[in-house]
Amino acid sequence: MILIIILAFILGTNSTFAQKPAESPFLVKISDKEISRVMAELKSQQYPPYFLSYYITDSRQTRISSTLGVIRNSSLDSMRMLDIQIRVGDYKFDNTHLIRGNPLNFSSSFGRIELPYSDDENALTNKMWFATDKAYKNATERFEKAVTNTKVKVKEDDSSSDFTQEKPVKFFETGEFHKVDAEKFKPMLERLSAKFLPYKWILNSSVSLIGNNNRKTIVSSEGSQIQTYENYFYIYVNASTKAEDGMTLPLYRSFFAFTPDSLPDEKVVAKSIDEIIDLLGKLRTAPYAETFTGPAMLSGRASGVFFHEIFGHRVEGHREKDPNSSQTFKKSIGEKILPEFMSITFDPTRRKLDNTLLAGFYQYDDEGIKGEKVDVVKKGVFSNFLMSRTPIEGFPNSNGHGRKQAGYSCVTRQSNLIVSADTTKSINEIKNELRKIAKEQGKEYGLFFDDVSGGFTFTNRSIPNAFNVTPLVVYKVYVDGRPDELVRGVDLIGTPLTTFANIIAAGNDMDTFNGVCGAESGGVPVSASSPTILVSRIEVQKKLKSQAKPPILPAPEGEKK
Amino acid sequence: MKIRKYKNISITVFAFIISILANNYAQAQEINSKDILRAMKDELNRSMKELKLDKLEKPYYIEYTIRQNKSYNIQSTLGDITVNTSNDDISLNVDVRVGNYDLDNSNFFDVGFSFFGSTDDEENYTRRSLPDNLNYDIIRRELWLATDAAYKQSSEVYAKKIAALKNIIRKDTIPDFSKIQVKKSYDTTLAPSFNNDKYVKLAQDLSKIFNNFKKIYVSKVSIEYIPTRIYYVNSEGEEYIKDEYQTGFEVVAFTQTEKGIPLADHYSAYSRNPNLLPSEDSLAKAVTELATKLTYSLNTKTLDESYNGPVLVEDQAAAELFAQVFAPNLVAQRQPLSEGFSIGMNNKTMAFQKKIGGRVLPEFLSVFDSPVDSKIKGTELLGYDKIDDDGLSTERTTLVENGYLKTLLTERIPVKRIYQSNAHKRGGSSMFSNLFVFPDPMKALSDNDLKKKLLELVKLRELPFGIILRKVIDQNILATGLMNETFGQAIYFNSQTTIPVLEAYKIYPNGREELIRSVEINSLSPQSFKDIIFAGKDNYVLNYLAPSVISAFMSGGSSYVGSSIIIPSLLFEDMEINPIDKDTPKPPYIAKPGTKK
Repeated sequence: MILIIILAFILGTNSTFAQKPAESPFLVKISDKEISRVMAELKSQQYPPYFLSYYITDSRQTRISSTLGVIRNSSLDSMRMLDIQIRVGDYKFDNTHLIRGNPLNFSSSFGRIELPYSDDENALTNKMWFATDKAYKNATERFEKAVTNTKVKVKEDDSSSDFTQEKPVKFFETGEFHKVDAEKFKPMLERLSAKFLPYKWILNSSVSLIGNNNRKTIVSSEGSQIQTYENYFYIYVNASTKAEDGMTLPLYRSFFAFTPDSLPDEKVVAKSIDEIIDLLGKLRTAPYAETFTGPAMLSGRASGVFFHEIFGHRVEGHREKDPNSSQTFKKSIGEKILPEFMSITFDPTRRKLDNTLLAGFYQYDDEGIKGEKVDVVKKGVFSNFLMSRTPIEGFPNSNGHGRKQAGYSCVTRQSNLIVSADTTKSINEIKNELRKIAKEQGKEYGLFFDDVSGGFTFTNRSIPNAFNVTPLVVYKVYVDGRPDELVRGVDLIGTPLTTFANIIAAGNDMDTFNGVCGAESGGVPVSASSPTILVSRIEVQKKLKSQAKPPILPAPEGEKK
Repeated sequence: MKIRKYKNISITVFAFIISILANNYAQAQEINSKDILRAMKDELNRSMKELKLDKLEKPYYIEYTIRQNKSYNIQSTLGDITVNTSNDDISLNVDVRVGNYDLDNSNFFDVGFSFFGSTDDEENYTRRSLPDNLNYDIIRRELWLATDAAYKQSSEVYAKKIAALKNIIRKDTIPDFSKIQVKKSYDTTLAPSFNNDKYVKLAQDLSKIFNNFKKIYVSKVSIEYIPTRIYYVNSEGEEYIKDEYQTGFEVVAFTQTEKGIPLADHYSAYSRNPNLLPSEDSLAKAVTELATKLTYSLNTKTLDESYNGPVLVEDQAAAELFAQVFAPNLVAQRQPLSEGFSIGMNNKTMAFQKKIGGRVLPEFLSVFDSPVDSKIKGTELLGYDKIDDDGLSTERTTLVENGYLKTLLTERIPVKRIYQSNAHKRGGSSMFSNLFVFPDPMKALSDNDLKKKLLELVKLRELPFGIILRKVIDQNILATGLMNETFGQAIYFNSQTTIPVLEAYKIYPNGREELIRSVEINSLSPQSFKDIIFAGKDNYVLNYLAPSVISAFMSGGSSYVGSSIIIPSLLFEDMEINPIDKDTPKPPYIAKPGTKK
């Protein structure tokens, strides 16, 4: 925790953010012109479109990865991609309407369309035109299918519209693409990755720099014209070894920043690598944990991921529309779902929490709607959904959470998840309470989940609504006061509502997990921040274990210099 | 790329000069190469000596291949660049054989491993990607992990194979792997440098030409250059280093008639050295010609009905038909043993597997494969290879002599009647390189005489016209270029049993030629080539990316291998040409920018 705060402080001081409206950029102008032309030309068709938007991503992606003191690969990819959204029908009912009972219920998006780089209107509009025509044909075909589908199926539970009506917005951010100074970072990554060299038993290791610069241009027939920048950079450390019983043991660390210059100092990453090496060494010989139900405490990072999986994905509004979705909280507005001392907010407008940067920051979402702070749980009571422009009953408007990766169709997604608690306890108090509860339950120990790599969840009715959080570092906290014992080989599992009911206390700390969340609209940067929490009963299951033996021969001796 | 008749002798001499020059160039990269080979040999020796699982056999053979690739890719449309990338990629492939030459873990299809890989990830790392900055220690380490994985997998497959053999009476009793005379080869040269800016400008300039052709909906110019250096060692003592490089220039264009019928065309030129692509002027001419012809074909007609009769197949069409229908059958294929069921082979390419000694072409035609020829009169041949993937020196192989099949192309996997490799392992499995088709000079006719013969046959059959085919769709360009650019609308051209024609002409008895569109060849089989009645005097050279005959999925190698077909025009006595009669996508609802509906 201390490490992260120091690191975040370094990050925080350097970041600046220019925000000045400018004259319509070139891409906005030509998109607007082409949209007007297309809308006019299609007016006389049987199903004229009522909405057309172009979403253009100018992307500069840097990847530099190093292993054992040498550069593994290094690339800079530039791309300009177009996504088209075309809607026929009207706001109430259009071609995106869910077609029930169809196993291949895909939206009309047909992958990313590569556009020319330089601002040549002729070349750009020719590509836009050909793709729009194809998208329009797809839209009309799907519209007719949707109309028939509503006639042959039972009345829908959710009678809300297909598309929200929103005020058009004009906003041009004066941002820039941040160049990664490869000459500076390559030697640094080499020095850092070389730290793994003496440890032959670490079978895979790498230190990478990942840089994403995206300039997003959104223009719609409703009059919205937006250009924003989404820039984020990571240094990512990854190492793994194998235990004698075949279990693969990975550890990761990532360092997040909005500009490459504000990435952490080499010393900070080096220290983290030392910790990884130390921990991997201990994990190799750590005992194998058994299946267990009982009390557990989750560190802020672990708890952040836990809430992201078990809660966050279930408050993404559009899921309530799908009759196959579990709709866990559909009828929960105004109901108590968490202890009274807890609240959950999603806030894309925050770049920082205390001194920690938050990856889920943005000004406008990918549907051109201003990102809003949404209090989803207030003092334990469920009060709101995250909304995109796909409305649900009782929630007719977006709150700026329509998000996607280039090449995908937008759906509701999370931003910066922040779990807060009104009454908190010190970490020591929480630990003591963990021991106490374990004792009451007749257990020898409780579990402490210190670090996790991520997790996943199912929100569909056809499979049990379970979640799985994949811990990297787990300790047994013994009731008799013996020192905590590092263990390996378990995943944290459960079902959402039961687990919620078991949260009993929160710590006075706060930690953040910055990452990329993958779902049906692609990968989007998000964060999850939480204090340490105490849960009276959780369940762990054995982790999937590799059956491969460790290498037969020892690692080759290095060259004699 | 039409060239006049070649002389074999001069080609051989030229190739020899190239190889001498190449050896001189080799000095420049030698130090690094030596270290790479040394690391490979050191780990190979250690593995052969020490690698063994308790109660299981040691490996009897190990081979390592490291491929250092650099690839440049430039794409442009209407004068503006859409893709401009260059990538480095170094891959390592380890093959471990357990058992012995007669019976080992190979030639066995393990369904689970083949489709899904091992459920234990680390056992799938027999093919690894290596860091760009190689050093001795890194290579040793990567080889160590890959060899460990390969040995464990091979041991398991070997045991499964032995178990499977206990329950069947196997007809195929030939050895699994042939022995070779060991040697060391170094075929290195400095790969020609690639002036990226120059080719970006070239792609822009050439794609700009389409701005003058408003009726063409979609067009793209792409340029690709892939130089590769390969390092190879095996436990028999064989080793080689070789440089390969390949340059591709492709143009695709697509439009639709007023009724929606899709029309597409492509142009391609491949060479090994990027500096030996056709000149900018001739490329510009070719692009303009393509755009003009495609625009013109919007106003042409297709056939009213199916045509059955003599067909003269010229230039690219002759080479492309030979490449698609006949050539793949010249590769030897061995049916692997499998768990529980026999796996289906690609029957389209199996016509000649049991045909050695039989007649497969008319008696005036012969075919040889010659990887040793690097050029024909200034045109580089893409199938040039001094050493094959196994490190064997390549040589000319006569495949068809006066119509009769002599042998098939093989690697070190023996097949019935061919126990030794004829050094044709290319891209991971047996494959042809430069296929030369040549007629008995007494039977070879000039272009004019071929047309006369065609018209004579037309008259005999009382047909109103004959047909000349000049261009046939390239399946690779269709899949990688056209389909992407048109969001799949070019699928209209794709078919399993027919071959779409891009350029066909009716030729009337008075000699007048008329371009027709949207036709396809039906039911052309390898056997149809026996119906060729005359061939031309001149040769056309087709450099192209040939789909691997043994699929990359089975071999773990490349999907496409640069190859060449050198072939004269062919007069078929009988061929079926049909108008394409399929549903078509509607033309665009929205007018193309800058035009009116």
